[in-house]
Formats: sequence, C-alpha cells, structure tokens
Amino acid sequence: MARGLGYYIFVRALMIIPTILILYTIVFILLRLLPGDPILAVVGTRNIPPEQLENLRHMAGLDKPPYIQYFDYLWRLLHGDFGVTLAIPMGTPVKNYIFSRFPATLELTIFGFTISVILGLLTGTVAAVKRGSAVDTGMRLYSIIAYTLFIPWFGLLLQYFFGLVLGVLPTSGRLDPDISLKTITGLYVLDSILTGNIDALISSLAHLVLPSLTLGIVLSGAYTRLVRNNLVDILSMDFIRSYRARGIRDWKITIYALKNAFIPVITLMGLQFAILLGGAILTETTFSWPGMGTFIVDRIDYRDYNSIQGMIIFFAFFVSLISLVVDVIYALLDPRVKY
Amino acid sequence: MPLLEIDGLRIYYYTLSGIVKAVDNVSLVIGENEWVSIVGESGCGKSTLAYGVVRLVPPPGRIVSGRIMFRGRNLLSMDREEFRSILGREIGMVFQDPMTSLDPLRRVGDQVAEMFTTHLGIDRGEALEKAGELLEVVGLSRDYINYYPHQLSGGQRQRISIAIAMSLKPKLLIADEPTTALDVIVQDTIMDLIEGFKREGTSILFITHDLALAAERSDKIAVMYAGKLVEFGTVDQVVDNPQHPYTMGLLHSVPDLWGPRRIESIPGYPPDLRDPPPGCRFHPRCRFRIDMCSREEPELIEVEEGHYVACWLRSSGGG
Amino acid sequence: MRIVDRPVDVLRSFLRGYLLARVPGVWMLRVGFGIVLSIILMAILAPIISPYDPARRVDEPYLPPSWKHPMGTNRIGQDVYSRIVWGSRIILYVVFLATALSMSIGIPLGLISGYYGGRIDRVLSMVMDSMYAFPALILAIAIAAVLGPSPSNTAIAIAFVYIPTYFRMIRGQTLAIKNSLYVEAAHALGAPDKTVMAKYILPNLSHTILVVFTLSVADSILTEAGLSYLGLSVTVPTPDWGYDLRAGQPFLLDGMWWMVFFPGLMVMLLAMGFALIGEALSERVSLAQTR
Repeated sequence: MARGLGYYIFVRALMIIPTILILYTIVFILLRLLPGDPILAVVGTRNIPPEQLENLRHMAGLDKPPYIQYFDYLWRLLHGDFGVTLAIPMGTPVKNYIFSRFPATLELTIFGFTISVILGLLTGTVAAVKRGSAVDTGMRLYSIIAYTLFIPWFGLLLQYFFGLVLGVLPTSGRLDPDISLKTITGLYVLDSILTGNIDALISSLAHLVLPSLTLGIVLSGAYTRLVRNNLVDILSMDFIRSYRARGIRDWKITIYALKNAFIPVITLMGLQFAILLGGAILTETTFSWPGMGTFIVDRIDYRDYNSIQGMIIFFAFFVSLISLVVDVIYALLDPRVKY
Repeated sequence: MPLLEIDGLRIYYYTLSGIVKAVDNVSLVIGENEWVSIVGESGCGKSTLAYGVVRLVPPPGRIVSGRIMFRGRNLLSMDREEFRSILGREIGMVFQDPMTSLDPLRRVGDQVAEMFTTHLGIDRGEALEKAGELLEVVGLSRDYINYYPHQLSGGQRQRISIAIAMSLKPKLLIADEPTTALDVIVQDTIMDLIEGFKREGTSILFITHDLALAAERSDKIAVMYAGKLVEFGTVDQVVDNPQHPYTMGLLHSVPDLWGPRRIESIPGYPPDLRDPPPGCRFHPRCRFRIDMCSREEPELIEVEEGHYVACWLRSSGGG
Repeated sequence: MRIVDRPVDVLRSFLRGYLLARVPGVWMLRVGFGIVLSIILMAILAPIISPYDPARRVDEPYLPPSWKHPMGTNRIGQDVYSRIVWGSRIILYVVFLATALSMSIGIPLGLISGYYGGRIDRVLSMVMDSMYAFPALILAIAIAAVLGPSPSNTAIAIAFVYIPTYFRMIRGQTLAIKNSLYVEAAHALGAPDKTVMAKYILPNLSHTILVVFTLSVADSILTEAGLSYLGLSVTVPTPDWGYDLRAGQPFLLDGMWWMVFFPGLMVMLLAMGFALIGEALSERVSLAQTR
C-alpha cells in the first residue's frame, strides 16, 4: 500500500524479464540441441551446392558457436528483430508476419475469451446456487464435456450444422471476399466500426461466430468448475450467513458472493489465456483463420524453424503481458493484496 | 406478552449417516429487556437453536416442527420477504468468529451503512454518516468506515459486527459465542458493550459454553444437553441451587478462586445424536441415575417459581 | 490407522471403498472407468475386432456408413472403423509413454524442491512456473516440429510440457507435509533424506498423484490429438485419430461427415473417460481432506 499502484506495476513488469529469458533459453536449447539439422530439414534431401547451404546457415545465424548464437539472437530480439524466414518466401522478416497475423489471432482470442468467461460464470453460478440438484449435476457434466471437446472436431461439427445443414454462417476466413475493408488496427470488427463500414462489420462478426464459439465453449468448462466450487465455498462462509442475518436482500448477497468467488477466477484467467492461445492454433486451422496459428502450422510444413522460434518468443512475451495485466486487475479488486 | 417464545422446536440434520436431532422439542421464553444465556457443551444444539430463530440452519439441517413467536407473530410461518425485513431490523445477530463474519472485499463503512440503506431506505451519504456515528458508539473512531476488515484486529471486527447487529436498535440480539475467538481482556470489553445495549432495552439471547461467563451478566440461564433443555431458571436459581446433575457437573468444572474445591469434569462423553440413549439422555454419565432414567424421558417441570428442570430425581416420583 | 499408505493399498481401497461403494457421484467414476477400459480393450483386441487392414485400400473411397463398413470408408478407400480400432493403440501408447516420462521427472524434482527448499527450490520453481504459464500445445508443437513426426517423439514433446504440472503439485504437497509429526519422527529416528522422501512423504501423496494423473492424462490425450491433427505425430499410412480427422476435414462440407465425426468422437470419449475419473476422485479427495 505504501508505494502505490504505479510502483507495483513497475516491479511486476520487471518480473516479466526472467520469465521470458527462461522460456527463450528453453526454446533455444530445445531447438539447437535436439537432433536434426534445421537447414537440411528445410531443403530436404535434395542435392544443394555447399555454398548455398553455407548461405542459408548464415541467414539463420547458425554459422557461429551456440553460445554466440544465444546472445546474438537475444540482442536482436531486444531490437524487435525476430529473424528471417528460412523457407519460401525465404528471407522475409518474421516480424512482418507477426504484424500481419497477430491482429487476427487477437480478435479471435478476445471473442473466445469473452464467451468462455460469460458462459463459465453463468453455468458455474447456476450450479453453485442449485447445489446438489440435478441442475448442478448437469452443469458439472457440461464442464467436463466442454473441457474434453476436441477443438477441431467440435469446430467441424459446428461447421457441418451451421454452415452446411442450416447454411447460415460462414465456415472459414475472416471476411467475405467481395467486401473490402480499410485496415487500421487489423482487428476487423474494430476497423469496420472505425470506418463506418456496416457490411464489413456484419460480415466480420458472422465469420467470428463459429470460431469464437468453438474456442469459448471449450474453454468455458474450466471456469464453470472453478466458479461453481468457489461459489459453493463462499456461500457457506460466515460472512454470507451474516449478510442473511442482517436481512440483506438475496440478489445483493449473490452479487457479493460472486465478487468474492471471482477473485480466484481472475488468477485462473492468466493461465486460461495461455491455454486459449494453444486452442486458438487448432481453431484457426479448423476455420482457415489467417492468424498466428495457421502461420505456425504453415511453417512447420516447411520446417522453417526460425519462424517457429520467433513466433514462440512472441507468444512468450504476449502471455507474460497478459499475466501482468491479470495480476494488476487482481490487485485492484482485492483490497487484501498489498502493493 | 413475552418478546420471544420458542415452543416445541425440533431441528434435525438429515445427514447421509443418519438423522441428527440437534434440537429436540425445546421450549424457551425470553421476556422484554431480559438477558437469557443458553449454556452447554459443543454439539449440544445451542448454536443450532440460535440459527433456528433466524431461520439460517445450514443444510442438511431443517426445522422440523415447533413455533417461534416473536412479539406475537410466528417467525416460522412468515414468508421470506416478511422475515427478511424483520432480520436485522428487529432481530440482530452476532456470530462467533469475527475474522470471517465481515465481507473481506468491502469497506467496513459500506457494510454498516448497508443496514440503513436496506432497512430505512435512506441514501448512501447519510447512511455512511450514521455508520460513522455508530462506530463511535461501539468505541471505534469514525475513520474506521474507510478500513477493510483485514486491516482490523479480531476485537475491532467484533465491535463492528455488533455495531451492524445493533444499528437499527433491534428488540432482540442473538449472540453466538461472540467472545470465544477473542482473548480474555477483549472478551470483557465486548461483554460490556453488549450489556450496554441491554441497558437501553434490548433483550439478549446469549449462546456460550462458559457457565461462569453466562452467570456474570445474565438474568436467566438455560442449560442444554444433547439437544434437550435440561434446566432453566434465573441465574441465582441455576447457579446457587442447581437441580439437574448435568448443571451440577458444569458448575464443578468451573474453578473457584475463593474455595478449596477441585475441578471435576463430568465423566464420559455426550451421546451420538443420531442414536441418543433412551430415557434421559444424560443417564449414562449421571452419578445419581435410577432405573427410571434409562426407561422414560423426564419432562421439564417447575420445581420452584420460574425454575424448571427435566430430571426424574426432581419429579414427584423421584424426590 | 496407517499413517503411510502404500500405493497398492491406495488402489485397493480406492477400488473397494469407492468404485463399488454407494456414494453420490460414483456413477461418474463408473462411467469413466467403463469408457477407459473399453478403449484399452479395443486397443488390445485390435487384430481380432477390426475387419480390415487399416492401412490398405479395401473398398471404394467415400462410402457412407453401411453394414459392410460401419463407419464408412475414407478418401483412399480404407475402412474407417478399422482405422479407429487400430488408432487407439497409437494414442494410448503416446499418452502413457508421455505420462510415465513426465511423472518420472516431475515427481522427483518436485520432491527435492519442496523438501530441501533454498536456492535449488527457487531456481527449479522459477523454471517450472515459466513453462507452466506458457501454452502447452504451442511448446509441444515446437518440440515435435524439431524432433520430426513419430509417436515416440510426440510422447517426448508431450512429456516435456506436463513436467511442470507434476512438479508444482508434488512440491506444494511436500511443503505442506514435510513438517508434520510423522516426518519429524522419521528424522528423529535417523532416517536419511532419501528414505524420508521415498518412504514417508511420497506414499502420502498417492491420492493427489492419482487425481493429477487422471486429469493430466485427459489433457495429454487432447494434446496428442491436437499435435497429430497438425500433422506432427504420425506419418501415413499409420492409423491415428487426430490425423484421420484432419485428413477427412476437406470432405466434410460436401456432406461426408463420417471421416471427421468418428475419430473426433473417440478423442473426446477417451479424454472424457479420464476426466470423469479425475473429477470424481478429486471430489472424493477434497472431501476426505476436509473431514
């Protein structure tokens, strides 16, 4: 409490650095020390002139000893340089792909995240309030089923039903091909609002429905469980009983209980967001969503490990940032956290 | 008309391993401006009785039968909304553990002020003003309205709980072991505080396992054993002239500073309430038991004016 | 009461006292067990119960489900049902190998970290927490991509990302019980650290390990399927649920649902089987702890 929120955020932000360093080191060690020559992996078994191989090695920064590579790459990362692609198209900065692909992934994850939190809160609250009833059992089952849905399968079932049988929703891409949209942020929904483009807004929202529902429903299972268990605990706590004994109205007590139950849920959100990003890769592939996930999968086919490494470092940074935001929200909501 | 009249109250817990008869046919009367303490070992049903009065028996517990008349109206037959408007306004309650009975996420002032906004319908600013005044009444500074519960000590929190319970000057304050979780010196100040409210006209239903504490300030004492009321009377009657062997046992387990008496505990344990012993529930532990005790249950009878006891020794047959 | 449970006792008491007991929620456990056992049985009996060679063209491609091919045929003309049956072997192999690997690394590290504390604990915790916070699937993708597609490599990739799960749980529990009376009694009797950890602490974690095991297996199943869906697990023509689903995807919107529906359903059923067991067990363990 003494030094204020600004200081807390600053200190917490500093803690991102070791996290990223550790992940960078792990990824670096894994990618360099595991068996297999990445360059040969790119070019395959074809016969390639040695000088061209050398050239490739140089481009990937692989012509130096590992420890120099380690600091070299780190140094370049600090300048926002994520290296260049090793496969077709060769030599393009990975950064460019991040800039063009990240907004698509962000848009998908924001919608998916929102849906999962809302669904999780609703189902979890209903289950806790109706604890021990058939509704409660139903919600627990929902949580398990949602959690164990295999994303591509669930996404494809939705495509089959809403895209083919009902024919009401698009099953791939982000926008109808005949609609043009001036991109500002790369988040199509936001861009169409900013440019006042109604057609693009409707189209981009329609394209978002199935992918974000897929992601949202699958991820909501964990929230259902956590919200239910927390709320059950909270509802049996003394202060809730005290509220009742004071004649406070039931709906108000439910709100106070939810607020208390929400605190641990916030902690889960950071971790959930990481899982969400993993799920986003599968969702993007299932719905041909042009985001980071489809890019990574693309690069895997080319065995372009420079791009994979860059993407993973970027993900590490993004995940750390999210956990920072989550921590700050937590500190703001819970007066017991000292900062 | 007495303030509160509990008549034939039964509260059972329906657990997986059997029905626990936590409160079994208990009747009790509390008059206007009277301090009645319910004394008994833990698990005797005294807290359940208190929860029963405010209809907050936790599941799987249920009020099975009985009447609770409060100022001539049966609390148990009221609809939820009517009962809610009485809770807090006419009946206040303080719980045992001050550490957990306040909402950790809301400022103390808001929690106190909520009583005024909920029951009197006044706006928040005015309510906070009144909350500040109230904190001064319970011996805290007005500034405490801006504190969160975790910033306060146990004693301070209990003062706030009492302030909230007494905020609307209820006719009845139910206090469930309000001092058990506190250290001795703080205990005393909390008791003083409660006594102060009593002097202003509130009746107190005080739940405790501590007979000495109850004897200090109560008007009347009710002794409970294994879900049954076994003795009831004024403090003088119960403490100076105990009639039930269990009450005697409780008195002997209190150290006496001025006497040479040894502390004696009652041998044995309270019974399993899923399967209580037949007849008088105390008979397996009783030094004075007679044949009758294990066969038939003794009724509560008046042995002198206002002094009731449920024991075969005191009934006409026993002597 | 025994203070130290042997794993055998845990399993026995679990089977006797729970699987067969009449307690609320036991149906979850029974259904979960039923699903898991049938799929394991399916894998064992694959040569007997599959009518066709899963890797060969046996009929016309794109045939819808019929008596001859209960789950239809795929784009090559392979029998989908036979591929489902044989595919159970791959996913079970990968997941159990992966789980065995991550347990055998995560549990000892967690014990050491929690037991000794100090610098080693700080370093290990920091590394594990960083890994834990990172999307498991993405890390597994990176590792699998480097190692190249093979079931064993997939298992290594999955094993790697679940080490922190075991580490964190074991470390926390070790911290919680290392100061308990019976552990101190063991010290007082002069038991060396290794004995205390192996004989006094570890056996008491067996209930928790069982819960974490079932839940992380459920999770690994989805990860394995995800990796093979992305083409990182097996090579053609090995039958594999995740891969087969991906292979059938292009034909789904032409109305040929069976190539996608059945493999995905199996993934979900298997994961759900373990999740049901885990859910029922964790309820049981938390109940036992509050008592």
